Parts: sequence; structure tokens; C-alpha cells
Amino acid sequence: MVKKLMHQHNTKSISVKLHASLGQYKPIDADSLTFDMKISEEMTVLELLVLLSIPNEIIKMISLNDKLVKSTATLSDGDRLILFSTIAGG
Amino acid sequence: MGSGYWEKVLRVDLSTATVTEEVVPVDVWKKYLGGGGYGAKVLYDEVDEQTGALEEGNKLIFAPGPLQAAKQTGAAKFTVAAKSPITGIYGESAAGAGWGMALKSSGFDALIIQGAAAQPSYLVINDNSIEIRDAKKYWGLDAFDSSDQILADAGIDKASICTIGQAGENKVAIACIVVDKHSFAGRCGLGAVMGSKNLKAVLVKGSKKVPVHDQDKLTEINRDIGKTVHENTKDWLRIHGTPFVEIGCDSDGDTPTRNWQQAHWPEGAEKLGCPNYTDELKAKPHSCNSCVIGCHRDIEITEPAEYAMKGPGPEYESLGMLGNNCLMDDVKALSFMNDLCNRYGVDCISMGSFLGFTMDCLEKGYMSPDDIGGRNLQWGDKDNMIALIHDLCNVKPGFGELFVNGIVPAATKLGDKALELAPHVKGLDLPAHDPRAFFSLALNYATGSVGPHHERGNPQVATAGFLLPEAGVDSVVDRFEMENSEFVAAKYQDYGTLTQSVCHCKFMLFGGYSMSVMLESLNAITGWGWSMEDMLQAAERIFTLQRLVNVKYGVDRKDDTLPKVIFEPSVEGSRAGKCPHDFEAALDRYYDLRGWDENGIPKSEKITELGIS
Repeated sequence: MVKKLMHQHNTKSISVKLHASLGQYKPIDADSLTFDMKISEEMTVLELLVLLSIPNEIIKMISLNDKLVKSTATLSDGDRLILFSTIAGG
Repeated sequence: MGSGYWEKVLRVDLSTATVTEEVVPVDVWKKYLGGGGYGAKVLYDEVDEQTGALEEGNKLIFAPGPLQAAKQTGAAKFTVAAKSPITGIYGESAAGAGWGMALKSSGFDALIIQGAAAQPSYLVINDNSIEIRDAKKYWGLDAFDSSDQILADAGIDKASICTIGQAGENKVAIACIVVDKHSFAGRCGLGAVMGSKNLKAVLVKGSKKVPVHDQDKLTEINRDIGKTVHENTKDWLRIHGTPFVEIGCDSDGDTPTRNWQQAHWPEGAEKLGCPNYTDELKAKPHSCNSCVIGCHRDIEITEPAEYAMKGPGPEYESLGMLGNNCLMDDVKALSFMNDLCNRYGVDCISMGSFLGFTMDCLEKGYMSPDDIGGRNLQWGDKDNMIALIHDLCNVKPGFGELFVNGIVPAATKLGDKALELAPHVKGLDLPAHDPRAFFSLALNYATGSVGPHHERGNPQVATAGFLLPEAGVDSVVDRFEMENSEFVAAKYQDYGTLTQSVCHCKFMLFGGYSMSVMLESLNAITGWGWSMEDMLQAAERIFTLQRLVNVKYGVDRKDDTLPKVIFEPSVEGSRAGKCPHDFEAALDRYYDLRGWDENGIPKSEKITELGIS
């Protein structure tokens, strides 16, 4: 599913990277699987997933500024978020 | 200009202590490439069905491939092949580190070991100087200590070494070959074959530059793909290694839990997986030669003292098999067990399978503690797990003697109910990916050349978006789709066979190393000017040859099966109510796609079409 980025009226901007099969959820106006987003105050990763129409159950790992976190983590200005779905290798 | 091949194979007969160099012309390499392709060719031509895996007549073939000329990320691989003591059929396992590149740089495309030495020996290949040396003083040492001592005594700088531990010496059927103390040719019991030949180690130093067709082009490819793979893996596989997938695999119902009887174990996966693994074990990346990923883990445990160790950390397969499969969630204890397995030189996958199976049999009353030396093994019972690893590797009465020849001989002694519970195909233990979570694994495991293997065909990654568009797998595959699973399984088997034969690391696919890059590299090295169709046909040829080796050893449709549990859906978890279905019909479609008859035998027209001779 693709959708347009929601540009909101605030100053928080984060970098989002969608890994592998999550590419299907890339916003329609993003040039690549790594893109910048503006978000509202106090948004969690879980709320961002809703915004991107990504089902929570397919997210297996979340990296926020190089630390693995839960979906309840709160996003801050300048954060670098990477979302991983199933990898199934190894 | 060269072709990436020396057109020379080294043959060492340990019975007669003779060493010969054989010319193997490029026409042979064009058909079988190297690695597992060449190993299968030697077994097909030279090892008959009557020869036992641990008899002198078995051959042990160490083979890199053309990509070891590349100094490219992922190109540290080589394979070892032999008739397997676990399955009695085609056995093959791959490792990395530095050994394959060293052998290639010594001026040989492969090494064939035959016969058996009268006393413990080790082999030294120092470019053109080949020597069989006395290894009596190293016999009885573990794989790490013997590596250190042999390297120190040999006095050859920057050499690479393959060794066996005590398990290989004792011909434990799941013994592995340990490479440079951090990589392992783990599956199929090839360490036992090495032990049966009284061969403790093979030390190699190569200083020659392999001649290639177009070095400038190759250098350009190496630089570009190195950057791409690094960019795509640096945030996960480099930081965390394969333990990164533990929690996700558990969530998918992919990781075997409680001897394959339970769908998932999130609380255990949380303790074993990342970030806990990386933090608790102070894990750092360790790379094979030329690799930009570094998926191997270097870890150190100082507390508690009983688990103190420093060295290679467990990978996902070890976490799954010694952890989830045994309901053992102490990552430090597991790391200690993993280190024991590494040092003794046994396959952690089969070790975890034996232990989980034993726990299940004890719980169900199919076995008593008296069968395993009086040890009352419980689920997650780390003290007894450690004790039983020692027992097996030293072939102690009880567990050691029961499992020394593999899970099927052990289960057969215990009775029909235990045999039904044993998670194996063709005698080889299932690895830590469950066909109930990814249906294309069902056919992959049932028909795989070595038995069930997570890398000789890894079709489950197609569900994650790691695709093979050049082979026709160009969109994400539904994990519960049986309808087209024969196609997905066959294409990933061919891909696995190809990577085992050109000798490359399948993890590069996670970083964006496509089959197109592989072809471009192969052509730059060899100058063959192959099309993608040429390369795909070589993969199919080699896979079919491996099947023909197995047909020679008695394999047919009756052996292409799965354990009963794989057809039993769980009642909970993300795969609740799901399991592979209509398996026989899928197998028919698979045989048809392969050009095999209804009994699983390659048809003569297919053999002719592929040019197998």
C-alpha cells in the first residue's frame, strides 16, 4: 500500500528506512526506501506505523538511532528509524 | 589473461602417503564450476554405493570455486564434500574464514583426500610444497588448541587451517570441520570422515595471484558491490549478526521450540535474541576474508565463571536449536555450550536436535534416564545439557553411545514412537526453520541434496523480499502458499547450489548481491561470456548431478519425506492452524518441474539436456 506523506505543521523531522519487503509501504512521494518525515509531538513508533499503514504485527525489529527498541518508543526530532519485517534467514 | 582456474587438482592418498597433481581442464569447470559441483562430480565418478562413509574408500573433497579469485565480499567460501556418515548419501558443507582463498592461491582448484593414514597425520600445503606430517602430539586436543599448536609448530606465517576436534577423532557422526577457529563446515558429519582418515588438520598457505580474464572490471565490481552490501547490512547484520533474526523467527513460528512441538516462545526469544544477546555478550563482528558484513560474532563471558569463554559466539541456528528447541533461555550458558561444540567439533544444529529430542522422549516416557547414563534431563536443564555434550563427543556409555551414529539409529533403538518423534529427513536433523511457517521449505527439505538444509535452498527468504528475479522469483511470496511452492523451492535450491559451487556467501543476497552481479563477476573472472541462462543451467546441472549421486546411493521418492510433526498445525501463534498440505501432489509437480520421473529419478532426456556425463 502506498500513500502520500503527511506533512504536518510542526518542527519534528525524522529519517525513516523501510527494510526489504516493507518497501511496499513506501509513501508515494518518497524517492527511495529511506525518506524524511515530519511528525507530530509525542508520536510513538506504533503511531507512525498507523500513519504509514504498516500492520504492527509484521514489524519484527525496530532500530532507533542504532538501538533496538519496542514499538512504544517515542520519536524525537532528528531520529533515525529503521523498520524491519521478517528476514527468516540465518 | 586467465580463467580463474589453475586446471589443477591436488590428490592426497593417505594410505600410500602419495601426492599427485591432476590436470582438470576448463571444460570440466564450465560444467561443474567448483565447490559442491566438483565434489558431486568426484563422488559420482569415484565413490560407489557399497563404500561406507567412514571407510577408506570414501573421498573428502575440499573445493573453492572461481569466485575465490575475486577478493570480493562474500567470496571467502569453500565447500567440503563426502559421502555423509549421518545420511549415507551426498554430504556437503561450506565454511568461510580464510582457508578457501588460501587453497586457491596455492595453485590448486581443489583438494581430494582419499585412503586413511596409518597414524594421526596432518597435511601442509605451502604453495607447491606438499607434506604429510605426524599429528600424534595433537591427537586428543580440541579444535581450537590444535589449531594454535599446529600453526605455532609449523612455522609458516599467515597460514589458514582446517581442524577436527575430539568428536571427529572419535567418529561421532555429527562431527564438523573447524576453520581458522571461527567458521565451521558444520553439517553432514564431514569431521567424522576426516577423523576416519586419521587426518587432524589441513594447513594451507597460498601466495599466488589467481589469473583472471579482466582484473579491471573485477576490481570495479568488487568496489561497487562492497559499498552496496555494506550499506544494506550495516544497521543490522553487522551490528548484531544472525542473532538479529531470533525474535522475528520466533514470532513467525519459524524457530523449532520444544522439539518442534510448540509454536513459539516469545519470552525465551527475548532473552536469547537482540538486543540482549549483543549487550550481554559484548558481541562484536568478525569477518571472513574480504567480507564487509562480518556476521560472525566475537564474544566474551567473564561472569559467571562456570560459563567463562572468549571466542566465536552462537549464531541464530545455535540459538534456535540449543535454546528454543530445548527451552533453554540462558544466553551465557548457551554460549558456553556453543563453545564446547565448537571445540569438540560437532554441529550445533544436530546437537540441539539430539538434546531436544531426548528431553521430549524422557517426558513422554519413550526413554528413561538409564538410557543416557542416569541423567534426568529436563527441559531447559543446562547442567545436564553440558554434561551430555561431553558424553556424546567422548562417546561415553549412555547418551554418547546411543547418539554416536545420529538420531535415526538412536531413535530406532528406542522404538517406533521415538522414531516418529525424531525431527529428521534422510537421517539429517532439521535446522532451525520450520516448514509450517514457510511452506516452500517443505519441498526444499524433502528433496534437498544433503537432506534438510537451511542454506541449500533458503526459499523462506522470498517471503521477506529477498528475491531472485533473474530466476523468475520476482515478487514477494506468501509464506503459506503451497500452490507454487515447487517453483520457489526449486529456484532457491538452484541458487543455493550455484552459490555452493562458485563458492559465495548467500548472506550477500541480504545486501543486494544479485544473481546478475554473480554472473558479471563470473564472466570477469573466467571470460566465458555466459548469459544468465548459461549460469542457471549450470546450477540445474549440478543439482541434478547431486540427485544422481543420491540415486546411486539408493535414494528415491520413498526418501523424499518430512517428519510427521511438520503436518501437525499448532493451535496458537502466528501460524495457528497452518501446515504444509497436499504434499504428495506438490512433490509430483516438483518432480515434473525438475524433469524427474514419478519416483524422483532424473529422466534420461533431462540428463542429456544438461550434458551430464
